[in-house]
Amino acid sequence: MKDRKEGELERIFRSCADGGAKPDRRVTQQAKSELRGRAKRAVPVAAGADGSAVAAKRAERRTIVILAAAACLLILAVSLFLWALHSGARPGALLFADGATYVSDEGLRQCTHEDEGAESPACLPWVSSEEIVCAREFALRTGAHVQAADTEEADTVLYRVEYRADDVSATVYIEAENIYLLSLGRYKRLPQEQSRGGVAFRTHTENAYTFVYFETQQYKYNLRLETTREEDVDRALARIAESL
Amino acid sequence: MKKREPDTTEEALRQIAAGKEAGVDLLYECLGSAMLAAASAVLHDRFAAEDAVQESFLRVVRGIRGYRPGTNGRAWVLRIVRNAAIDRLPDGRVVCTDDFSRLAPAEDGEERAADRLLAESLLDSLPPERRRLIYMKYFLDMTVRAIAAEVGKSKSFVQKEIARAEESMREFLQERGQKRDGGGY
Repeated sequence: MKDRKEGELERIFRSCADGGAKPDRRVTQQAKSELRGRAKRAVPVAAGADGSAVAAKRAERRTIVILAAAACLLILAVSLFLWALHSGARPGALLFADGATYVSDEGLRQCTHEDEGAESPACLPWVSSEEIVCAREFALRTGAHVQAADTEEADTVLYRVEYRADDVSATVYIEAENIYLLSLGRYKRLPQEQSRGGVAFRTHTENAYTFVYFETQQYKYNLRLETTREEDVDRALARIAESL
Repeated sequence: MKKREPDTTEEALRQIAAGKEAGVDLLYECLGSAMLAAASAVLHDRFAAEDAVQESFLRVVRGIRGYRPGTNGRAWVLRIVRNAAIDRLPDGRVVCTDDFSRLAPAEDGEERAADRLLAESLLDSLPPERRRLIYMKYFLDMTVRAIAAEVGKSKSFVQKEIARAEESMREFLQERGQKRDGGGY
């Protein structure tokens, strides 16, 4: 009702609108071409004369499924990697990467047992047993689900030794070959490099500490010296270089 | 003749839906002028308006499945034309849609020429806002609901404004008739 038009008004306006000039007839050409093209495309599919359209559709669907599955697997792998990297939710949360086994603190605790009364380890030749304040070693638990390369049950994968030598207190974490404790990653990125007696040291001074990193064929040493004095650091590095 | 046109538009759209080119020709015959007028009212340029009409024919063909047979085919087509024209505006703004001076003059007969002059006079007698509403209702075949949405007013407001405009135009026609009967026109 509300859209009803006044009869006389509608006649006048309609006459005006419809009585005007028409556009050039060629304005219909594109629309007709569209209809023609649609008719050509429609025939084979509608008639089922050519199975290629169906086959192509199936192949396309198959490709989509394969791509989706690959994407899911990739996401799953990345998620597992990140999860294991940042959590120690289950024993032996160790991962392989570039031949090394990366392990979080929590993962280390779960897959190793700690021996607090350890003696001076052989891998610490520049420290005498008298100088050791505290030594701990972390050996792989029996039955721990560890897949690190070249490691077996009961192997020691990490030492933590506190010692005091030349009036300087120090703490060193010694990682076995192919073990990479994530929390010690920053030692591997220390900015300053120097070489003494064939040993390459990386160092950095921060707050009251001097951080030192070096490695041998079997071990990686992450050393924290409780001093920032250059002569103390020089003496400590010289002592290490001479012993290795 | 007046009742035949909607049926013709409906038939044209039915043929287009069936993929027949003849439907496009039929639509051109029955709505070509109105389509050009609708596009011209937005664009104010004959060539640009023809481009918009060409685009509109294409949109009709591509969007024919969106049309529900038996509803207002004329309004459906003219809405497509208007949108196509608006899309061609440089800044997307809708300009005044009641400028009949820009429409192409009637081509056939004195009667239609007289109707056109009368339409212009009727619209000129209205304030701009009501003129616009009348244009949408009578030239673009838009419903009150669509007009309200277009101008951003309530349906009741639009309905009242259109009723006042129609009343005003009726009075104009009566006065004109009296003057003509009295030999004054």
